[in-house]
Amino acid sequence: MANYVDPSSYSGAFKKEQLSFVQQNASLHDSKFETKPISYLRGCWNRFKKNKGAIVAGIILLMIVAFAIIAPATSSRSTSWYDPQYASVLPKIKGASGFWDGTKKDTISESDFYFQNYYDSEKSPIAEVIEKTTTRNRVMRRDITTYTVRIDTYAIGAKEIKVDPEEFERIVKWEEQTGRTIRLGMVSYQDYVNQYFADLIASDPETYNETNTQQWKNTMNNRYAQNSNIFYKIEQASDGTKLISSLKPVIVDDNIVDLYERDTNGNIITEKTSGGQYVLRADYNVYYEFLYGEECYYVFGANSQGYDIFVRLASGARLSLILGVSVSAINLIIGLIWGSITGYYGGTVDLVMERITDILSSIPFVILATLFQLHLKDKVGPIISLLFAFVVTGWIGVASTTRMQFYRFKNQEYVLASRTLGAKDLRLIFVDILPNALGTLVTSTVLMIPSVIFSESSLSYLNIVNLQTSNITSVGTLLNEGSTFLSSYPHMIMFPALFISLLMISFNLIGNGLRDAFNPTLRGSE
Amino acid sequence: MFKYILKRIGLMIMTFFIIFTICFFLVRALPVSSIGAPGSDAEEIFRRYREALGYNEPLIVQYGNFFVRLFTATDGGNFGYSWNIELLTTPWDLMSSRFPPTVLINIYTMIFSVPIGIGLGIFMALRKNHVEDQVLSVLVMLVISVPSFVYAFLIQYLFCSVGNFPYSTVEAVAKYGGNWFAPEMTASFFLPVLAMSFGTIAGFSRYTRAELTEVLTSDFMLLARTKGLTRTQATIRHAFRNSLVPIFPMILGEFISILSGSIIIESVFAANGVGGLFLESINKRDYDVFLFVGMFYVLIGLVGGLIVDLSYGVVDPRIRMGGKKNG
Repeated sequence: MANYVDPSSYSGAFKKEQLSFVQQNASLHDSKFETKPISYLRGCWNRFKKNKGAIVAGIILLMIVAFAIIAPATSSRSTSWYDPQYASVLPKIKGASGFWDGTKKDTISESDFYFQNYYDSEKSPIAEVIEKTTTRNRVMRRDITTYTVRIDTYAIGAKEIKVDPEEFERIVKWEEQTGRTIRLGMVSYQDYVNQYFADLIASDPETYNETNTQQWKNTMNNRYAQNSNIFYKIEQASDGTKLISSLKPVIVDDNIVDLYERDTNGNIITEKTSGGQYVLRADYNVYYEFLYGEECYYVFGANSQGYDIFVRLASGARLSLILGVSVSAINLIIGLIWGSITGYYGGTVDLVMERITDILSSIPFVILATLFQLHLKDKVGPIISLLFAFVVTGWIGVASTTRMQFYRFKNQEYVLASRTLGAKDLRLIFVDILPNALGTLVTSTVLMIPSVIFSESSLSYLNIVNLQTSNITSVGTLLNEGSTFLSSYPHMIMFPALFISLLMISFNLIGNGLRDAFNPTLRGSE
Repeated sequence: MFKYILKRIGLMIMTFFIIFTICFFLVRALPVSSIGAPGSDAEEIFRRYREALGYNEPLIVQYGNFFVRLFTATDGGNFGYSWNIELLTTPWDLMSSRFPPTVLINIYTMIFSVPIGIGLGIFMALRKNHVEDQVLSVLVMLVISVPSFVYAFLIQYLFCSVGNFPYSTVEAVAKYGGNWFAPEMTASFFLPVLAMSFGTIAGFSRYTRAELTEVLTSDFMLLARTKGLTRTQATIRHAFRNSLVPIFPMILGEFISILSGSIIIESVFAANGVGGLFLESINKRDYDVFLFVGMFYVLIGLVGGLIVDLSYGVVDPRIRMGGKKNG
């Protein structure tokens, strides 16, 4: 040896000038590589690129992440914004027609059809009449007419609202500028209803009197009070021979007869004052445009209270992703350190640590999450306590993977060689052995994210964990809300369910792609 | 082998005991929610019962008392009492009444999906890298990834909202309470079983395919063919049997998890099983029941793991149990 190194002076690595080639003057028989060397990570990336499924999944995942980040910014609505008037409206894309336009097909009775059709607002719920069917009912011996129509769930029509004088002035100004109408005529129905029943009793005193018409009268009054879209005269419907309890609009020469309040000059009154505020009968869709500057639409529909599912799903997605990524990162760090120590030193340390991991991994996660919620929720909040629950057992997988890798490599010749050259424990652990475990660890860390998201959504679906606050929601909570309205409003559950399925599928595909890329020998052996 | 089993059982009991102790202290340290309005008779009764049964003692005394009661109680309260679900009913009684739906749903799922899953797996392995295999593999991948509750919602919507499926578990239980095998009762389990089957079928077919493809390429298969066996004979007699070595413990594990069931599927279909009881105990803060059901889940997990581990040695004697780890 040309250069002799005193072991006592060795400080971690040889210096270049201390070393010289063995074949310094001998001739070498192998030639230099023509190709460029490919680093380990480069090789992995090349293999990963070939996996089309994983690439597609990666793009989908990127889109989901973009949705979670961008969606709240593009929407003018916040997570806590809601409009109860638009409760349960169907998904609608701005300007769409025919599909995804907030309409649904429905079959309604003739009287319903009339009530839905005569709106004095810009929009009426009947977007399109598809078919009018008349069938003979043999039992009741009369024709029954039904309409198959497309109902526009966004057509709210008139709603009574209260505004302060300042806003009232702005409304009037806006109406002048745009030429549209928010203020619809006020309706006064009391006199008409009283008159109608007085006339009815007078027309047939033998059949009708105050007492037996009282029920009908109450019903009619309620109808007017509850539905501010009825601005016209209504009357008891008849089955051909006698009056029945259902109501229908009064139609004279194909026209309805309005009940607007009028002043002495015959002008329609459009507002009243009460306690310093203006009471309006507003065309709510137009009023919404006045408030927010654009037509109302909910891309993913609204939930039962009028919250925007699009914004809330994005918020839930963000929470899920942040939770998933941070849990994985924390677990990776803890598991790595723990696994390295147990794997490298072995012996008693290993035995004790294995018992501890054994115990921790035997506790079902649902019990752990519940206990953490019950104990810590009031102190640190539900999200942090859920995070703790995930971390307490989650690192075990990473630790055992690392440990296995250490058992595999720690007695191999190259490690022995490094040790002989004087490398310290830390160098052996982190420079010589750990990089071998990289592939497996990356894969298991990536695959941990969907499992965390799945657990989180399951737990919040089951209401064991309630992450809902005014600003935050979780996908599981959305699923829970939606499942209540599964039969009547499937859109409420469809989007969260679709989201979580897509997320799971793409994460699993990416995980598989990573595994194949990092460990080509494992390919195909699921 | 016998010594190894004893050692494993001993370790299992120790693990269970430690988990129980941790959970016991964590649960008993929680604030109690009383029943009835403050000052009412119900609240007074509740308070006095707890006082009499020693729930107000220091935790360590309660812990000792628990074991005393466990072996000496004659009123059935060996595992504590239900407080908020049904006052002073024993957790054991509550749970045994909830067992049948859970167990039946899981047994039906297993009977239905394990053969289909294994069959699909064999088919895929034999047609490896053909179109059928590739299509099925993608499908299996997708089905495994989608969470089971999504299937549950989908099935419930298609069958109950669109299709008007006439049987619900809740109604069937009310009607045929005692008779768990009445035809309507069985029919009412159809939807939850279907929802659970997707994942199980996909899991088994993926696993079977992986195992069988590995065996099919091994040397002894070549030998079998060289001896003159037809492909079918070789596959059935040699390959399939050998691939069963890891599959059988998987079936066994599935069989044991029958008892714990799926909380979320039970919740979606309102099958009033053990999972439902567990949720109820959390929502109503009935801690003794929570502890009892929770410990039951822990025990199932531990025993299941042990039996699966031991069964490897039984199925394949080549796998030596308790051999020293090389390290």
